[in-house]
Amino acid sequence: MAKQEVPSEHFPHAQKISKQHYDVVIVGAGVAGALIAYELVSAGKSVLMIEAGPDQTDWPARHSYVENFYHASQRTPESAYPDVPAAPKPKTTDLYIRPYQGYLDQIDSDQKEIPADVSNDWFKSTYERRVGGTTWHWLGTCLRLVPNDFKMRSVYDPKEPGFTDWPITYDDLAPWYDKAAIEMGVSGDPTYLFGMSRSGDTYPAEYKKYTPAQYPMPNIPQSYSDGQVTKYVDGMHIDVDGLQGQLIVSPTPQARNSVGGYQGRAQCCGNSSCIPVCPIQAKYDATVTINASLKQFPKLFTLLAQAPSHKVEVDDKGNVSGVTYRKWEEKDNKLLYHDYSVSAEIFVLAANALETPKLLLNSKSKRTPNGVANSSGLVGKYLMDHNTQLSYAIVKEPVYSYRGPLSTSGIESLKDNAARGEMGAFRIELGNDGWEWPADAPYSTVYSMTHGEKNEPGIFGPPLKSKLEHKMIRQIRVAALVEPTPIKEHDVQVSDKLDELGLPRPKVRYGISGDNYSIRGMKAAIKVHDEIFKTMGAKKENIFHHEVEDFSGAGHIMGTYRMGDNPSTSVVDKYQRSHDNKNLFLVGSGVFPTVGASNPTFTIGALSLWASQTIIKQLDNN
Amino acid sequence: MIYSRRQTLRVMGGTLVATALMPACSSLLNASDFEPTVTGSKQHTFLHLSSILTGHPPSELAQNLAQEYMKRLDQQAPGVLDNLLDQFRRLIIQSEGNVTTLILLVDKNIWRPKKFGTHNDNQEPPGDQSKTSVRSLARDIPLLWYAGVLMEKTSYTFPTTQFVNGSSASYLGALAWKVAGSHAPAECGGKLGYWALKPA
Repeated sequence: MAKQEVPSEHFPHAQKISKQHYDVVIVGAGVAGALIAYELVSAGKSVLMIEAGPDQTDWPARHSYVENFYHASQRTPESAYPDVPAAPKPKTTDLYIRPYQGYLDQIDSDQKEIPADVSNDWFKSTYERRVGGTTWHWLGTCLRLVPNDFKMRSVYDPKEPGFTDWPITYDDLAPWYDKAAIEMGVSGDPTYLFGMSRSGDTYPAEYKKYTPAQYPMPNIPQSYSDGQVTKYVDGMHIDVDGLQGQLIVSPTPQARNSVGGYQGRAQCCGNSSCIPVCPIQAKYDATVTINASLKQFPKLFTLLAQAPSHKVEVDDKGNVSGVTYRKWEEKDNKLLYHDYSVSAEIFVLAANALETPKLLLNSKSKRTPNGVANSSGLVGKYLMDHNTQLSYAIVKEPVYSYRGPLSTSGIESLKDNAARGEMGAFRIELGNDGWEWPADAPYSTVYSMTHGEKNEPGIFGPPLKSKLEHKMIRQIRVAALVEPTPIKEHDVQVSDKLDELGLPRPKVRYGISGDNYSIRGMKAAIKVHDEIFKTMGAKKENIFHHEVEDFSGAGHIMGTYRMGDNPSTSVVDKYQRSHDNKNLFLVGSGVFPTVGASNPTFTIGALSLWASQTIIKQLDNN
Repeated sequence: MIYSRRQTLRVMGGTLVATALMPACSSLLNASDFEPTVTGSKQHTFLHLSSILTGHPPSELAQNLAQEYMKRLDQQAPGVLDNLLDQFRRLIIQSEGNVTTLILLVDKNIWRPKKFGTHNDNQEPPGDQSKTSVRSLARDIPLLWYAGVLMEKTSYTFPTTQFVNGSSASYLGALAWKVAGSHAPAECGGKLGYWALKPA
């Protein structure tokens, strides 16, 4: 699409904004930015939130996303959301469609086909660039990191050099998790902590000192399938490749309403499309909090969408003095745009762990020859994702998948174990969605039955109906989220390839082939999955595992501006404030120095709420 | 009950298979349906062929989806569906009102002709293998009803084919969900917690 620069007056709202001076400017309208913004405006601070993508959050927009999903050929997380040329995003389909058309600069775009001898070894996660961010299509899982996740170096001392301790402990973050549960509307069972029943014989002694988790709503009911897994597997001891432990099935706390009306959201009725979209907004997404800011504090909170930020300016005192953004609109098949700058006392970059470092690194100047906040040289480094091992099977007894939220239970009991010095820990997510994710069911299941496979002619009529029913009600899948090694060479940089708005794309380096620590964890996960399925009566020929090199991305983009006490080995301090710039906060999962095996969003929420209090105090002191 | 080729070959036309198939097949096509299916509209014939191929009686197959699926099949392979329906009408006459016999005839002549993978008198002659055959299109019919998709060519160098959905109604009405005791994802499945119990 052609682009055309227009005069400043073309965007009067953006022009007016650029003349204001805010208490805080937040870049990014995802969960981190949303939670911080609401805390700030509640404390009487003026906030401008700038978002690259569009503001399409009302019910007609949501219904249109559901319609898109109905028509999608590939039911990926981003399949519900239209492409936005001026705010492009990575897509799951980029990974296997050739010629490569992806937003991330990570695959040679000259490749017309996937070479047979090249492993599937790149960054596989995606995100959404619109108001609400990736919470539009997150699952909703709200798990805490476990205490030892914060102390990988001092407790397990892996030989991989990238592991380090966090500058905070679980005890520091615990009260913020409770607050995040309220702000995000989490349904959970307080008799469990870290996925273990506090009253059970297996509850680790070292966990007994920790205060129980609190939730504003009772648990989302576990599924029939979960019950079947529990019946056969719960309590089972495993010993694979040096990993010893016990499989404990526990309900998963999640930001999904078990009670109607919480935050004005509907009660979950099991639409089974949490990814990519909850049609009724039973699931929390960041628009809940952003709309609360807009509605309750219209004079203090300003939202500016369709405005990707591309430069951060720093003054001669080392303070951030402004952010430059490119306001755009689509008109007559052209992208019209103009650049504006805006100033504030404090700046918060909350654009996710790829876009935030890209912004910082794109902000080179005489004062900041390596980009902003980058005296350590570590901005963009240590990119991580949970390398996800998918396994699926047909088990002996019906489990009745394809019903309810996409996951209501997990096996969290292996997330911390004595083998973490040698192999990545993992959690096992129990799927309620059958073979949808790993095998594109039911399309693939029906196709193979009707069109036949391995020279079989396929079947029709009552046998087809009966065989399809028999198979589908026994299809089950599990996914192990495996901890990666923090590897400095896994990174995001600024590409010289530009998007349609003329702004640089992220250049990404990531893969599993250099991460033997995580690979060992994935191989152990395969064996554990195998045990689970066999115990549930699956025959060997009906058990399938994705190969390790066919790992999936979890949508968990982490690690690229790690927190630490030492400015030469970290980017932000424990308050998520830049070591280099005292009025700059970098938030989101980019601050994680190590990532454990828990889904990160709940920890993002807790850290963001903590950061908001730090920001408020700093503003009050100023 | 498993419908196997071995059973068919051994007892073709025999009462043993007929008895085994009868309970499942009796609802698919009543005797009174036979003549209207031969002489009736294209949609009527298509619905009854769909019934044979899906194992669902015509009353469970939505008329609006029948229209959509006929259109999609005609667009994908012009003329082939008409050819298939003509063959089906001939087989109905040949079956003399016996639905079990009809199914066996469909299997032999449409689904699986004399030699697997080759043509017979009832198919287009070989030559242009890029054309959709009657046999291939017959498989797309239950694929559409159960999954709401067709496998279509892409414009990419890889992959060269992908599943393509149709209307929202075809997505929501895909029979696979019903067969699995569930619902199309994004539809509300029931009250909170319905997923904790077996399907009704």
